[in-house]
Amino acid sequence: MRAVELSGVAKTFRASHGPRRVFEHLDASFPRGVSVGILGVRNAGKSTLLRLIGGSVLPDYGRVRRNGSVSPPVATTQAYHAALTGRENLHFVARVNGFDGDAAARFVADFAQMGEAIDQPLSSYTRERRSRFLFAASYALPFDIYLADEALFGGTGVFRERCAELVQARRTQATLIFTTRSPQMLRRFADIGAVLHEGRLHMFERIGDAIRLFRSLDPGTASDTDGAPEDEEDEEERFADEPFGPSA
Amino acid sequence: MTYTPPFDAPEQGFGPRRFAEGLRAQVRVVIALMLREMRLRSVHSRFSYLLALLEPILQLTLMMTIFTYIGRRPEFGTSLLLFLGTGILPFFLFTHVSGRTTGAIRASGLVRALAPIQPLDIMLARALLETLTLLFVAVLLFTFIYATGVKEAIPIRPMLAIEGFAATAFLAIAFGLINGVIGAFFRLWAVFYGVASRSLIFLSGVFFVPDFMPPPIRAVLSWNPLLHGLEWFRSGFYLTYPTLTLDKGYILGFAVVSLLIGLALERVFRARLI
Repeated sequence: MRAVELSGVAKTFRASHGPRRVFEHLDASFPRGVSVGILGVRNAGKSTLLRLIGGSVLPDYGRVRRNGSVSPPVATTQAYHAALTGRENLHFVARVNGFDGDAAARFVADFAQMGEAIDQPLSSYTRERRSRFLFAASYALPFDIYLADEALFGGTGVFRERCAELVQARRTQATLIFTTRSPQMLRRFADIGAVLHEGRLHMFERIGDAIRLFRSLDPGTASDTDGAPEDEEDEEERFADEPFGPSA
Repeated sequence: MTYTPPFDAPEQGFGPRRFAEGLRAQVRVVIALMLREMRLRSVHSRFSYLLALLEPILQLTLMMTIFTYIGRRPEFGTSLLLFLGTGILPFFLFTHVSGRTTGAIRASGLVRALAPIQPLDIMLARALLETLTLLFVAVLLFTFIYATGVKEAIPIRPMLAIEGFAATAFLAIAFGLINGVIGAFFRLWAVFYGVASRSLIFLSGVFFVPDFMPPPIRAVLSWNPLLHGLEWFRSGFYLTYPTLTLDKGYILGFAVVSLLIGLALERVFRARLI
Protein backbone atom coordinates (compact mmCIF):
# COMPACT_ATOMS: atom_id res chain seq x y z
CA MET A 1 0.00 0.00 0.00
CA ARG A 2 1.43 3.34 -1.09
CA ALA A 3 0.99 6.60 0.78
CA VAL A 4 2.22 8.87 -2.01
CA GLU A 5 3.03 8.08 -5.61
CA LEU A 6 4.62 10.43 -8.12
CA SER A 7 4.74 9.36 -11.72
CA GLY A 8 6.39 11.21 -14.58
CA VAL A 9 6.44 14.49 -12.71
CA ALA A 10 8.00 17.48 -14.46
CA LYS A 11 8.35 20.89 -12.87
CA THR A 12 9.98 24.04 -14.19
CA PHE A 13 10.13 27.31 -12.32
CA ARG A 14 10.38 30.65 -14.00
CA ALA A 15 13.23 32.38 -12.23
CA SER A 16 14.53 35.86 -12.95
CA HIS A 17 17.41 34.45 -14.99
CA GLY A 18 15.40 32.15 -17.19
CA PRO A 19 13.54 28.92 -16.52
CA ARG A 20 14.96 26.49 -14.00
CA ARG A 21 14.02 22.88 -14.50
CA VAL A 22 13.86 21.09 -11.19
CA PHE A 23 12.38 17.77 -12.30
CA GLU A 24 12.13 16.38 -15.77
CA HIS A 25 10.70 12.94 -15.23
CA LEU A 26 10.50 12.05 -11.58
CA ASP A 27 9.04 8.77 -10.40
CA ALA A 28 8.85 8.08 -6.71
CA SER A 29 6.69 6.11 -4.38
CA PHE A 30 6.47 6.27 -0.62
CA PRO A 31 5.16 3.26 1.29
CA ARG A 32 2.48 3.66 3.93
CA GLY A 33 3.32 3.74 7.62
CA VAL A 34 7.02 4.19 7.00
CA SER A 35 9.24 7.16 7.75
CA VAL A 36 11.24 8.30 4.75
CA GLY A 37 14.10 10.75 5.12
CA ILE A 38 15.21 12.52 1.96
CA LEU A 39 18.79 13.70 1.80
CA GLY A 40 19.96 16.19 -0.77
CA VAL A 41 22.46 18.94 -1.24
CA ARG A 42 21.41 22.58 -1.50
CA ASN A 43 19.32 23.31 -4.60
CA ALA A 44 18.68 19.63 -5.23
CA GLY A 45 14.95 20.36 -5.22
CA LYS A 46 14.10 18.93 -1.80
CA SER A 47 11.64 21.66 -0.95
CA THR A 48 10.03 21.47 -4.38
CA LEU A 49 9.62 17.72 -4.02
CA LEU A 50 7.99 18.17 -0.64
CA ARG A 51 5.66 20.86 -1.97
CA LEU A 52 4.70 18.61 -4.87
CA ILE A 53 3.86 15.86 -2.40
CA GLY A 54 1.89 18.26 -0.24
CA GLY A 55 0.07 19.79 -3.18
CA SER A 56 1.19 23.38 -2.63
CA VAL A 57 2.98 23.22 -5.99
CA LEU A 58 1.30 21.58 -8.95
CA PRO A 59 3.38 19.58 -11.43
CA ASP A 60 3.62 20.79 -15.04
CA TYR A 61 3.24 17.21 -16.21
CA GLY A 62 2.69 13.90 -14.50
CA ARG A 63 0.59 12.80 -11.54
CA VAL A 64 0.87 12.98 -7.80
CA ARG A 65 -1.35 10.47 -6.04
CA ARG A 66 -1.98 10.77 -2.31
CA ASN A 67 -3.73 8.11 -0.27
CA GLY A 68 -4.91 9.75 2.92
CA SER A 69 -4.82 13.18 4.49
CA VAL A 70 -1.61 15.17 4.18
CA SER A 71 -0.39 17.64 6.79
CA PRO A 72 0.96 21.04 5.83
CA PRO A 73 4.78 21.07 6.19
CA VAL A 74 5.71 20.98 9.87
CA ALA A 75 5.91 24.45 11.44
CA THR A 76 4.68 26.23 8.34
CA THR A 77 2.96 29.54 9.00
CA GLN A 78 1.01 29.75 5.77
CA ALA A 79 -2.14 28.09 6.96
CA TYR A 80 -2.57 30.46 9.89
CA HIS A 81 -3.84 33.99 10.13
CA ALA A 82 -2.09 36.32 12.55
CA ALA A 83 -5.28 38.11 13.54
CA LEU A 84 -7.00 34.92 14.66
CA THR A 85 -6.36 33.19 17.97
CA GLY A 86 -4.45 29.94 18.23
CA ARG A 87 -7.67 28.07 18.92
CA GLU A 88 -9.48 29.57 15.93
CA ASN A 89 -6.59 28.74 13.62
CA LEU A 90 -6.51 25.16 14.87
CA HIS A 91 -10.25 24.80 14.45
CA PHE A 92 -9.96 26.03 10.89
CA VAL A 93 -7.25 23.56 9.93
CA ALA A 94 -9.10 20.76 11.69
CA ARG A 95 -12.41 21.61 10.04
CA VAL A 96 -10.85 21.70 6.58
CA ASN A 97 -9.47 18.20 7.09
CA GLY A 98 -12.50 16.85 8.89
CA PHE A 99 -10.79 16.43 12.27
CA ASP A 100 -11.78 17.35 15.81
CA GLY A 101 -10.71 20.94 16.48
CA ASP A 102 -11.41 20.87 20.21
CA ALA A 103 -9.13 17.91 20.75
CA ALA A 104 -6.38 19.62 18.73
CA ALA A 105 -6.69 22.84 20.72
CA ARG A 106 -6.58 20.90 23.99
CA PHE A 107 -3.52 19.02 22.83
CA VAL A 108 -1.64 22.16 21.79
CA ALA A 109 -2.54 24.08 24.94
CA ASP A 110 -1.36 21.17 27.00
CA PHE A 111 1.72 20.15 25.05
CA ALA A 112 3.09 23.64 24.43
CA GLN A 113 1.98 24.79 27.90
CA MET A 114 0.19 27.74 26.40
CA GLY A 115 -2.48 28.19 29.04
CA GLU A 116 -4.65 31.21 28.29
CA ALA A 117 -2.49 32.23 25.34
CA ILE A 118 -4.29 29.81 23.06
CA ASP A 119 -7.18 32.27 23.03
CA GLN A 120 -5.05 35.23 22.06
CA PRO A 121 -4.27 36.27 18.48
CA LEU A 122 -1.12 34.76 17.02
CA SER A 123 0.28 38.22 16.35
CA SER A 124 0.64 38.74 20.10
CA TYR A 125 2.81 35.66 20.62
CA THR A 126 6.42 35.96 21.63
CA ARG A 127 9.03 34.27 19.48
CA GLU A 128 9.39 31.30 21.77
CA ARG A 129 5.65 30.80 22.17
CA ARG A 130 5.15 31.16 18.46
CA SER A 131 7.67 28.47 17.68
CA ARG A 132 6.15 26.18 20.30
CA PHE A 133 2.69 26.75 18.92
CA LEU A 134 3.80 26.02 15.35
CA PHE A 135 5.49 22.74 16.23
CA ALA A 136 2.79 21.51 18.59
CA ALA A 137 0.07 22.46 16.09
CA SER A 138 1.84 20.53 13.34
CA TYR A 139 1.45 17.28 15.20
CA ALA A 140 -1.88 18.01 16.88
CA LEU A 141 -4.09 16.60 14.13
CA PRO A 142 -4.26 12.90 13.19
CA PHE A 143 -3.02 13.15 9.60
CA ASP A 144 -2.17 10.00 7.65
CA ILE A 145 0.93 11.60 6.15
CA TYR A 146 3.16 14.16 7.86
CA LEU A 147 5.51 16.29 5.79
CA ALA A 148 8.51 18.20 7.09
CA ASP A 149 10.91 20.40 5.20
CA GLU A 150 14.14 20.44 7.24
CA ALA A 151 12.44 21.38 10.51
CA LEU A 152 11.07 18.24 12.17
CA PHE A 153 11.06 19.50 15.72
CA GLY A 154 12.11 22.68 17.42
CA GLY A 155 11.87 25.01 20.36
CA THR A 156 14.29 25.13 23.23
CA GLY A 157 15.16 23.16 26.35
CA VAL A 158 12.70 20.61 27.65
CA PHE A 159 10.14 21.44 24.98
CA ARG A 160 12.66 20.50 22.32
CA GLU A 161 13.16 17.08 23.88
CA ARG A 162 9.46 16.42 24.21
CA CYS A 163 8.93 17.61 20.66
CA ALA A 164 11.46 15.09 19.37
CA GLU A 165 9.68 12.36 21.35
CA LEU A 166 6.41 13.46 19.81
CA VAL A 167 7.87 13.05 16.33
CA GLN A 168 8.99 9.53 17.24
CA ALA A 169 5.48 8.76 18.46
CA ARG A 170 3.81 10.10 15.31
CA ARG A 171 6.29 8.17 13.21
CA THR A 172 4.92 4.90 14.54
CA GLN A 173 1.31 5.90 13.82
CA ALA A 174 1.58 7.53 10.41
CA THR A 175 3.67 8.03 7.32
CA LEU A 176 6.40 10.60 7.74
CA ILE A 177 8.26 12.19 4.84
CA PHE A 178 10.97 14.69 5.65
CA THR A 179 13.89 16.34 3.91
CA THR A 180 17.19 17.10 5.54
CA ARG A 181 20.84 17.78 4.91
CA SER A 182 21.87 16.05 8.08
CA PRO A 183 22.70 12.30 8.04
CA GLN A 184 22.23 12.37 11.80
CA MET A 185 18.58 13.31 11.44
CA LEU A 186 18.15 10.46 9.00
CA ARG A 187 19.58 7.96 11.49
CA ARG A 188 17.33 9.29 14.19
CA PHE A 189 13.97 9.56 12.45
CA ALA A 190 13.93 7.57 9.21
CA ASP A 191 13.12 3.93 8.44
CA ILE A 192 14.05 4.29 4.81
CA GLY A 193 16.69 6.58 3.38
CA ALA A 194 16.43 8.44 0.10
CA VAL A 195 18.79 10.72 -1.77
CA LEU A 196 17.59 13.35 -4.19
CA HIS A 197 20.18 14.01 -6.85
CA GLU A 198 19.89 15.53 -10.31
CA GLY A 199 16.16 15.12 -10.51
CA ARG A 200 16.08 11.50 -9.40
CA LEU A 201 15.08 10.05 -6.09
CA HIS A 202 17.18 7.08 -5.02
CA MET A 203 15.61 5.00 -2.24
CA PHE A 204 17.53 2.70 0.09
CA GLU A 205 16.20 0.07 2.47
CA ARG A 206 19.21 0.71 4.67
CA ILE A 207 19.86 4.19 6.00
CA GLY A 208 23.61 3.62 5.83
CA ASP A 209 23.55 3.20 2.05
CA ALA A 210 21.70 6.47 1.59
CA ILE A 211 24.17 8.28 3.80
CA ARG A 212 27.11 6.79 1.93
CA LEU A 213 25.74 7.97 -1.40
CA PHE A 214 25.00 11.40 0.04
CA ARG A 215 28.54 11.70 1.39
CA SER A 216 29.99 10.86 -1.98
CA LEU A 217 27.92 13.64 -3.53
CA ASP A 218 28.57 16.24 -0.89
CA PRO A 219 32.12 16.09 0.42
CA GLY A 220 31.29 19.08 2.65
CA THR A 221 29.53 16.83 5.13
CA ALA A 222 32.60 15.22 6.62
CA SER A 223 31.13 13.67 9.72
CA ASP A 224 27.74 13.15 11.30
CA THR A 225 28.07 15.99 13.68
CA ASP A 226 29.87 18.78 11.98
CA GLY A 227 27.96 21.40 10.08
CA ALA A 228 24.61 19.74 10.34
CA PRO A 229 23.32 20.96 13.72
CA GLU A 230 23.87 24.60 12.81
CA ASP A 231 22.02 24.15 9.56
CA GLU A 232 19.20 22.62 11.49
CA GLU A 233 18.98 25.63 13.74
CA ASP A 234 18.96 27.87 10.68
CA GLU A 235 15.92 26.13 9.33
CA GLU A 236 13.99 26.54 12.54
CA GLU A 237 14.88 30.21 12.69
CA ARG A 238 13.47 30.56 9.21
CA PHE A 239 10.03 29.48 10.36
CA ALA A 240 10.13 31.65 13.44
CA ASP A 241 10.67 34.74 11.30
CA GLU A 242 8.13 34.02 8.60
CA PRO A 243 4.97 36.10 8.75
CA PHE A 244 1.63 34.37 9.20
CA GLY A 245 -0.84 33.95 6.42
CA PRO A 246 -0.86 36.18 3.35
CA SER A 247 2.69 36.84 2.28
CA ALA A 248 1.80 39.79 0.05
CA MET B 1 -14.26 -17.91 -1.73
CA THR B 2 -14.64 -14.23 -2.39
CA TYR B 3 -11.84 -11.76 -2.15
CA THR B 4 -12.29 -9.06 0.45
CA PRO B 5 -10.01 -6.10 0.01
CA PRO B 6 -8.37 -4.63 3.11
CA PHE B 7 -10.79 -2.23 4.76
CA ASP B 8 -8.65 0.84 4.15
CA ALA B 9 -8.21 0.31 0.43
CA PRO B 10 -9.30 3.45 -1.41
CA GLU B 11 -11.92 2.96 -4.05
CA GLN B 12 -10.53 2.89 -7.51
CA GLY B 13 -11.96 4.87 -10.41
CA PHE B 14 -15.18 6.82 -10.22
CA GLY B 15 -18.37 5.76 -8.62
CA PRO B 16 -21.26 7.33 -6.77
CA ARG B 17 -19.60 6.63 -3.42
CA ARG B 18 -16.38 8.26 -4.45
CA PHE B 19 -18.30 11.22 -5.82
CA ALA B 20 -20.25 11.58 -2.57
CA GLU B 21 -17.00 11.42 -0.63
CA GLY B 22 -15.48 14.18 -2.74
CA LEU B 23 -18.58 16.31 -2.41
CA ARG B 24 -18.57 15.91 1.37
CA ALA B 25 -14.94 17.03 1.53
CA GLN B 26 -15.69 20.03 -0.68
CA VAL B 27 -18.68 21.10 1.42
CA ARG B 28 -16.55 20.73 4.56
CA VAL B 29 -13.80 22.91 3.12
CA VAL B 30 -16.16 25.59 1.82
CA ILE B 31 -17.97 25.82 5.15
CA ALA B 32 -14.66 26.08 7.02
CA LEU B 33 -13.58 28.89 4.70
CA MET B 34 -16.89 30.71 5.14
CA LEU B 35 -16.61 30.61 8.92
CA ARG B 36 -13.04 31.87 8.74
CA GLU B 37 -14.05 34.66 6.40
CA MET B 38 -16.86 35.74 8.70
CA ARG B 39 -14.53 35.78 11.66
CA LEU B 40 -11.88 37.71 9.73
CA ARG B 41 -14.32 40.41 8.69
CA SER B 42 -15.02 41.25 12.29
CA VAL B 43 -11.40 41.32 13.39
CA HIS B 44 -10.95 45.07 13.46
CA SER B 45 -14.33 45.94 14.82
CA ARG B 46 -17.34 43.91 15.76
CA PHE B 47 -19.48 46.43 13.86
CA SER B 48 -17.81 45.97 10.48
CA TYR B 49 -19.94 42.98 9.58
CA LEU B 50 -23.08 44.69 10.83
CA LEU B 51 -22.26 47.67 8.67
CA ALA B 52 -22.05 45.44 5.61
CA LEU B 53 -25.58 44.31 6.38
CA LEU B 54 -26.86 47.83 6.77
CA GLU B 55 -25.20 49.26 3.66
CA PRO B 56 -28.04 48.54 1.22
CA ILE B 57 -30.56 49.89 3.70
CA LEU B 58 -28.55 53.08 4.16
CA GLN B 59 -28.13 53.51 0.42
CA LEU B 60 -31.83 52.98 -0.12
CA THR B 61 -32.64 55.57 2.54
CA LEU B 62 -30.36 58.05 0.82
CA MET B 63 -31.97 57.43 -2.54
CA MET B 64 -35.41 57.72 -1.01
CA THR B 65 -34.53 61.07 0.48
CA ILE B 66 -33.34 62.40 -2.86
CA PHE B 67 -36.27 61.03 -4.82
CA THR B 68 -38.82 62.30 -2.34
CA TYR B 69 -37.14 65.69 -2.44
CA ILE B 70 -37.34 65.96 -6.23
CA GLY B 71 -40.89 64.67 -6.00
CA ARG B 72 -40.61 61.54 -8.04
CA ARG B 73 -43.51 59.11 -8.21
CA PRO B 74 -43.02 55.35 -8.23
CA GLU B 75 -43.04 53.94 -11.73
CA PHE B 76 -45.20 51.06 -10.58
CA GLY B 77 -47.36 50.43 -7.52
CA THR B 78 -48.05 52.95 -4.81
CA SER B 79 -44.89 52.83 -2.73
CA LEU B 80 -41.69 54.36 -4.03
CA LEU B 81 -39.80 52.65 -1.22
CA LEU B 82 -40.96 49.19 -2.25
CA PHE B 83 -40.38 49.86 -5.94
CA LEU B 84 -36.80 50.96 -5.36
CA GLY B 85 -36.24 48.26 -2.75
CA THR B 86 -37.26 45.45 -5.08
CA GLY B 87 -34.88 46.90 -7.65
CA ILE B 88 -31.91 47.70 -5.48
CA LEU B 89 -31.76 44.33 -3.74
CA PRO B 90 -31.09 42.11 -6.78
CA PHE B 91 -28.73 44.79 -8.04
CA PHE B 92 -26.76 44.70 -4.80
CA LEU B 93 -26.87 40.93 -4.80
CA PHE B 94 -25.21 40.89 -8.20
CA THR B 95 -22.59 43.60 -7.65
CA HIS B 96 -21.62 42.48 -4.14
CA VAL B 97 -21.32 38.78 -4.88
CA SER B 98 -19.54 39.10 -8.23
CA GLY B 99 -17.41 42.03 -7.03
CA ARG B 100 -16.22 40.62 -3.73
CA THR B 101 -15.16 37.34 -5.29
CA THR B 102 -12.65 39.29 -7.41
CA GLY B 103 -10.13 39.61 -4.60
CA ALA B 104 -11.01 36.34 -2.88
CA ILE B 105 -7.84 34.42 -3.66
CA ARG B 106 -5.44 37.20 -2.80
CA ALA B 107 -7.29 38.21 0.35
CA SER B 108 -7.45 34.71 1.79
CA GLY B 109 -3.69 34.21 1.46
CA LEU B 110 -4.43 30.53 1.60
CA VAL B 111 -3.80 29.13 -1.82
CA ARG B 112 -2.46 25.63 -1.27
CA ALA B 113 -1.26 26.19 2.24
CA LEU B 114 -3.48 23.23 3.03
CA ALA B 115 -3.87 20.36 0.61
CA PRO B 116 -7.68 20.15 0.61
CA ILE B 117 -8.17 23.85 -0.15
CA GLN B 118 -8.20 24.65 -3.85
CA PRO B 119 -8.64 28.10 -5.45
CA LEU B 120 -12.17 27.19 -6.51
CA ASP B 121 -13.14 26.54 -2.88
CA ILE B 122 -11.85 29.94 -1.84
CA MET B 123 -13.84 31.72 -4.54
CA LEU B 124 -16.97 29.68 -3.88
CA ALA B 125 -16.76 30.25 -0.14
CA ARG B 126 -16.65 34.00 -0.55
CA ALA B 127 -19.41 34.08 -3.17
CA LEU B 128 -21.69 31.89 -1.07
CA LEU B 129 -21.03 33.86 2.11
CA GLU B 130 -21.89 37.08 0.27
CA THR B 131 -25.06 35.48 -1.11
CA LEU B 132 -26.12 34.44 2.38
CA THR B 133 -25.37 37.92 3.66
CA LEU B 134 -27.56 39.43 0.94
CA LEU B 135 -30.32 36.94 1.75
CA PHE B 136 -30.20 38.19 5.31
CA VAL B 137 -30.20 41.78 4.06
CA ALA B 138 -33.26 41.00 1.92
CA VAL B 139 -35.22 39.73 4.90
CA LEU B 140 -34.11 42.75 6.93
CA LEU B 141 -34.90 45.23 4.17
CA PHE B 142 -38.39 43.98 3.40
CA THR B 143 -39.21 43.66 7.08
CA PHE B 144 -38.12 47.28 7.42
CA ILE B 145 -40.28 48.34 4.46
CA TYR B 146 -43.19 46.38 5.90
CA ALA B 147 -42.67 48.11 9.22
CA THR B 148 -42.98 51.50 7.55
CA GLY B 149 -46.52 50.53 6.64
CA VAL B 150 -46.19 49.09 3.12
CA LYS B 151 -48.18 45.86 3.31
CA GLU B 152 -47.03 44.72 -0.15
CA ALA B 153 -43.49 44.24 1.15
CA ILE B 154 -44.38 40.61 1.80
CA PRO B 155 -44.17 39.01 -1.65
CA ILE B 156 -47.58 38.08 -2.98
CA ARG B 157 -46.02 35.35 -5.13
CA PRO B 158 -43.11 34.27 -2.94
CA MET B 159 -41.92 31.54 -5.29
CA LEU B 160 -41.28 34.07 -8.05
CA ALA B 161 -39.28 36.30 -5.73
CA ILE B 162 -37.23 33.36 -4.47
CA GLU B 163 -36.60 32.10 -8.00
CA GLY B 164 -35.58 35.59 -9.09
CA PHE B 165 -33.22 35.88 -6.16
CA ALA B 166 -31.72 32.46 -6.88
CA ALA B 167 -31.29 33.17 -10.60
CA THR B 168 -29.57 36.48 -9.87
CA ALA B 169 -27.33 34.79 -7.29
CA PHE B 170 -26.45 32.08 -9.81
CA LEU B 171 -25.51 34.72 -12.37
CA ALA B 172 -23.48 36.62 -9.78
CA ILE B 173 -21.55 33.56 -8.58
CA ALA B 174 -20.75 32.57 -12.17
CA PHE B 175 -19.48 36.09 -12.89
CA GLY B 176 -17.62 35.99 -9.60
CA LEU B 177 -15.65 32.92 -10.69
CA ILE B 178 -14.52 34.67 -13.88
CA ASN B 179 -13.64 37.78 -11.88
CA GLY B 180 -11.85 35.71 -9.27
CA VAL B 181 -9.47 34.25 -11.84
CA ILE B 182 -8.86 37.59 -13.56
CA GLY B 183 -8.50 39.35 -10.21
CA ALA B 184 -5.80 36.91 -9.13
CA PHE B 185 -3.65 38.20 -11.99
CA PHE B 186 -4.64 41.87 -12.22
CA ARG B 187 -5.09 43.77 -9.02
CA LEU B 188 -6.74 46.68 -10.84
CA TRP B 189 -9.50 44.49 -12.20
CA ALA B 190 -11.48 44.99 -8.99
CA VAL B 191 -11.55 48.73 -9.63
CA PHE B 192 -12.54 48.42 -13.30
CA TYR B 193 -15.19 45.89 -12.52
CA GLY B 194 -16.46 47.91 -9.59
CA VAL B 195 -17.06 50.96 -11.78
CA ALA B 196 -18.54 48.94 -14.63
CA SER B 197 -20.89 46.91 -12.48
CA ARG B 198 -22.12 49.91 -10.52
CA SER B 199 -23.02 51.72 -13.71
CA LEU B 200 -25.42 48.83 -14.36
CA ILE B 201 -27.77 50.45 -11.86
CA PHE B 202 -29.03 52.71 -14.67
CA LEU B 203 -29.46 49.85 -17.14
CA SER B 204 -31.04 47.18 -15.00
CA GLY B 205 -34.43 48.67 -14.29
CA VAL B 206 -33.86 49.76 -10.71
CA PHE B 207 -35.55 53.10 -11.42
CA PHE B 208 -37.89 52.15 -14.24
CA VAL B 209 -40.11 49.40 -15.57
CA PRO B 210 -38.57 47.98 -18.74
CA ASP B 211 -41.95 47.25 -20.29
CA PHE B 212 -42.86 50.94 -20.13
CA MET B 213 -39.84 51.85 -22.25
CA PRO B 214 -40.08 52.50 -25.98
CA PRO B 215 -39.52 49.23 -27.90
CA PRO B 216 -36.14 50.21 -29.46
CA ILE B 217 -34.69 51.04 -26.05
CA ARG B 218 -36.27 47.94 -24.59
CA ALA B 219 -34.61 45.81 -27.24
CA VAL B 220 -31.21 47.18 -26.28
CA LEU B 221 -31.80 46.94 -22.53
CA SER B 222 -32.96 43.34 -22.77
CA TRP B 223 -29.40 42.22 -23.55
CA ASN B 224 -28.49 42.93 -19.94
CA PRO B 225 -28.95 39.67 -18.02
CA LEU B 226 -29.22 41.44 -14.69
CA LEU B 227 -32.33 43.25 -15.90
CA HIS B 228 -34.07 39.91 -16.26
CA GLY B 229 -33.09 38.89 -12.75
CA LEU B 230 -34.52 42.13 -11.45
CA GLU B 231 -37.76 41.69 -13.38
CA TRP B 232 -38.10 38.13 -12.13
CA PHE B 233 -37.57 39.16 -8.52
CA ARG B 234 -39.88 42.16 -8.74
CA SER B 235 -42.70 40.21 -10.34
CA GLY B 236 -42.96 38.28 -7.09
CA PHE B 237 -44.12 41.41 -5.31
CA TYR B 238 -46.71 42.79 -7.73
CA LEU B 239 -49.59 40.75 -9.10
CA THR B 240 -49.99 42.85 -12.22
CA TYR B 241 -46.32 43.63 -12.94
CA PRO B 242 -45.77 43.55 -16.72
CA THR B 243 -43.15 40.95 -17.63
CA LEU B 244 -43.13 41.16 -21.39
CA THR B 245 -39.35 41.72 -21.43
CA LEU B 246 -38.58 38.99 -18.91
CA ASP B 247 -36.87 36.00 -20.50
CA LYS B 248 -36.02 33.43 -17.85
CA GLY B 249 -34.19 31.24 -20.32
CA TYR B 250 -31.89 34.10 -21.22
CA ILE B 251 -30.63 34.85 -17.71
CA LEU B 252 -30.27 31.15 -16.86
CA GLY B 253 -28.47 30.44 -20.11
CA PHE B 254 -26.21 33.44 -19.59
CA ALA B 255 -25.40 32.20 -16.08
CA VAL B 256 -24.66 28.64 -17.22
CA VAL B 257 -22.34 29.86 -19.98
CA SER B 258 -20.58 32.24 -17.57
CA LEU B 259 -20.20 29.43 -15.07
CA LEU B 260 -18.61 27.20 -17.71
CA ILE B 261 -16.24 29.99 -18.74
CA GLY B 262 -15.35 30.63 -15.10
CA LEU B 263 -14.66 26.96 -14.41
CA ALA B 264 -12.63 26.64 -17.61
CA LEU B 265 -10.54 29.68 -16.70
CA GLU B 266 -9.94 28.24 -13.24
CA ARG B 267 -8.83 24.93 -14.74
CA VAL B 268 -6.50 26.54 -17.28
CA PHE B 269 -4.79 28.86 -14.80
CA ARG B 270 -5.02 26.58 -11.76
CA ALA B 271 -1.27 26.10 -11.44
CA ARG B 272 -0.64 29.85 -11.46
CA LEU B 273 -3.46 31.04 -9.21
CA ILE B 274 -1.26 31.97 -6.30
